[in-house]
Amino acid sequence: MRCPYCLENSDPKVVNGHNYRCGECDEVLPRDYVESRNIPKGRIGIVGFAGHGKTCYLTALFHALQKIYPAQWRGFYLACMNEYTGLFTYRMIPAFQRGELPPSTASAFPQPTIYHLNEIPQFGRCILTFYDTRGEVFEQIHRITGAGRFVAHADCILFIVSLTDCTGSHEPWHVSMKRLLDTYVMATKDYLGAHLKRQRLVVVLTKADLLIAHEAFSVPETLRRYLIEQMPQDYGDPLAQWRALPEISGRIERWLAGHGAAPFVNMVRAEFKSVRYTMVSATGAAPAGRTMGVEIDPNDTRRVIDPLLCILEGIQADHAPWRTRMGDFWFKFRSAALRFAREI
Amino acid sequence: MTIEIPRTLYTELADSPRQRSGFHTVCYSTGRLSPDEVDRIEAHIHWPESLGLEEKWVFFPLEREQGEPLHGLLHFRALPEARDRFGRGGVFLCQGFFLPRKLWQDASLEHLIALLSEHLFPDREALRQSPMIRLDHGDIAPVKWDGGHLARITEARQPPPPSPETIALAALLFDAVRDDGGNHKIRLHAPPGDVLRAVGDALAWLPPSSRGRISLDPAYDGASIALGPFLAAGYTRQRPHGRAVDLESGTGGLPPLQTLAARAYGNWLDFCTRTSQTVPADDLEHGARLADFIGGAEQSPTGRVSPEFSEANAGLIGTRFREEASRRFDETLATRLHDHLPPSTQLLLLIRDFPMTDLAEPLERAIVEERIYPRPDRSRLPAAILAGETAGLRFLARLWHEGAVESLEELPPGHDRHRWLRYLAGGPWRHEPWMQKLIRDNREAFEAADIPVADPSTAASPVSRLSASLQRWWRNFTGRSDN
Repeated sequence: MRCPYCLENSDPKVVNGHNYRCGECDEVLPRDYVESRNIPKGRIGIVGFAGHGKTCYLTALFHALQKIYPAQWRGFYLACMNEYTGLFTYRMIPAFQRGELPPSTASAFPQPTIYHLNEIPQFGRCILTFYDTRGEVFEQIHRITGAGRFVAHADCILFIVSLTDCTGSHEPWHVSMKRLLDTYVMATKDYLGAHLKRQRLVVVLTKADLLIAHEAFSVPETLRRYLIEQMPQDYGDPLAQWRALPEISGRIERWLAGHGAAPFVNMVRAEFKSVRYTMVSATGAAPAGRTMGVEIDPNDTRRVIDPLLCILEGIQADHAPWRTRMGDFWFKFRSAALRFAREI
Repeated sequence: MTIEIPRTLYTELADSPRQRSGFHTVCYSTGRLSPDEVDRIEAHIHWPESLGLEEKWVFFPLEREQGEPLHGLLHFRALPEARDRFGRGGVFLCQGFFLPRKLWQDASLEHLIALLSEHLFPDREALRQSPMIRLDHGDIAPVKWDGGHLARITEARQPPPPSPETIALAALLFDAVRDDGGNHKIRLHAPPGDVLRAVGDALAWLPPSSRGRISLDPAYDGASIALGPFLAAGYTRQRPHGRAVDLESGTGGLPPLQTLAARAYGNWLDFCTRTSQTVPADDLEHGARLADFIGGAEQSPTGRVSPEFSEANAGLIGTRFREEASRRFDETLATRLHDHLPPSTQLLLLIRDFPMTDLAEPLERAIVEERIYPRPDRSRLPAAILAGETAGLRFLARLWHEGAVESLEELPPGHDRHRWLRYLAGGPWRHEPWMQKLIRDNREAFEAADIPVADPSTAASPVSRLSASLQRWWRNFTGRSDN
């Protein structure tokens, strides 16, 4: 088992008969993390430049998951699995709700945030471990190799980009995106020895409320509606949202490719196991300074659940029994064969 | 003498000369630190905004490919009013000072911090005003210290006697330094000021070589010590697990030491403190070398063996001595030698790798006084005895091999003849004819050595006793005497 703290593969040791500790770093391991081998687990690395909203997105996601969905999803609740997650949940999220934006992350070696998500409709249970490091780490290859070991071991990468914040730099926004991707790919593949073909990528376009209002990006109407019209309460049946993800992802992908980001789009397709595109607004409006000025209502947030659904989609595919996988393969094979037959 | 101390400044600056966004090293002493070193320094930067701290100090070693190694001290200061370009709080200013390793080893942390505090900038505006900084070049002039400064930080080097908690923490740090590959980093649970003070006190009781490898961030909440570069880290709100020390609860919950060397070092400091003996600062390195040797280091320490060290570590030395001696002699002899020799001699023999010149005398004494006799399997006779470095060992070698002494003239010279007689009388050869003859011929000498000399007939074996009885009966029967 890979320890979520030191990322080493080691057998946990039992202390006092019921307390699990990592054999390498001696950290206390959550009991469910060790014992419940049938609960799917996912390690999520968060990649993105400083100030693009990595911490803010995570805070908004768990704020929404705590405030809205336990009432909508029967039996759903979040359980903190370590003390740091407790601090995050009971200090940062209430501060966020009061309208205070999270301060800039100043740690290159973050403590993992480990949540046990219970009874997600259509999915069930899973344990997710998030590693939120400071954005400066992703500026240069040697920084990722020095401080980003956890990304090499992540099952899924949340690739956080705020396109509006890319416009302020000396290069076009799509070049900034590609630069971040290049840095990440080179660092993890060539220096950390990671297998990117085992990683799923979820591109999260943050601060989407600013994005759709920005004329330079000419966001298509369908995507505007996708962002504005969908309320958090509409996720009462996540299956419907889940089914809509591929189509929305495809639209965002085409829109990005059409606006100069085709190299980025093509590269992620070639390098990663799978890719999904989402756009979110973590607060629903731009802040005025450090605070929003008003309390943040989770109903004001937009699409913050979508990246989570993409993560769950990947975990479900990875943990599906072989019969299901064979079924998926047969379905894809049959579709391709039918398409081929129609063409000829 | 003047030394130059390179500096770094790390913060978030909108008009950074490095053309970079977010937090980064805005300027550093360019001629004295390389870009690669600056990157490695940045890996030590962690500011736990949620703790609401005003400032903190961290320190760590900085190895270099070229030039002498340095030890860095970083000062963090919160800038609560400042905002980054996204309007977020959590802005801080981190100022680094990089001392020559030798200076770090000789200075006290408290004095260093006091002196370095005089060179701190209060905020980001002060950077722009300072003549030491060429912001457009991203360069900051190093701090220059003359002899007066150096005297201030190295004076009063002898610290006050340590408390048991300080000794325990010093041993734990000593242990962590020697257990590099084991990921046995130390988590300390206390407010940052208390963590810094406790580790600063413990540093004074570490040998300079270990002091140069210690790194600490006293406020590491929210960061993972397992992945991070620090050997020790303090946690204020989070209660750390694993090798954690709760500084407020004293020594009760200390994690066990992983290395024998650390146990030996801790025992020594503890012994010296309990017996009210001061440990001069200059002796710490020698004590550490002895401790490392006990812990299995291959390199033997030079210099004298402190009696306090061997007394404090009698158990550990004894174990090591028995192991090593068993490899050279047989196990019984090793145990007897161990029982016979004081810990300081055992340590000395270990250090010198059992030299026969030193060993012959105690070995001979142990064999004779502890009455060690050859086993039936003579091939296992110790080579040391066969080598026969002294007259006594030569005699023993002949006795063990050939097993016959014709007269007391053959005994090794010296005034302690009684010792040898007692040894001879208690040996497995006491019923041999040659021994019986020796006793018969030297009855007075044996009796003078407090050895009850029985009638040879009663001391003899059953066969010889039967033979003697038959001879007596025949003499009586024939009426003939031997004469």
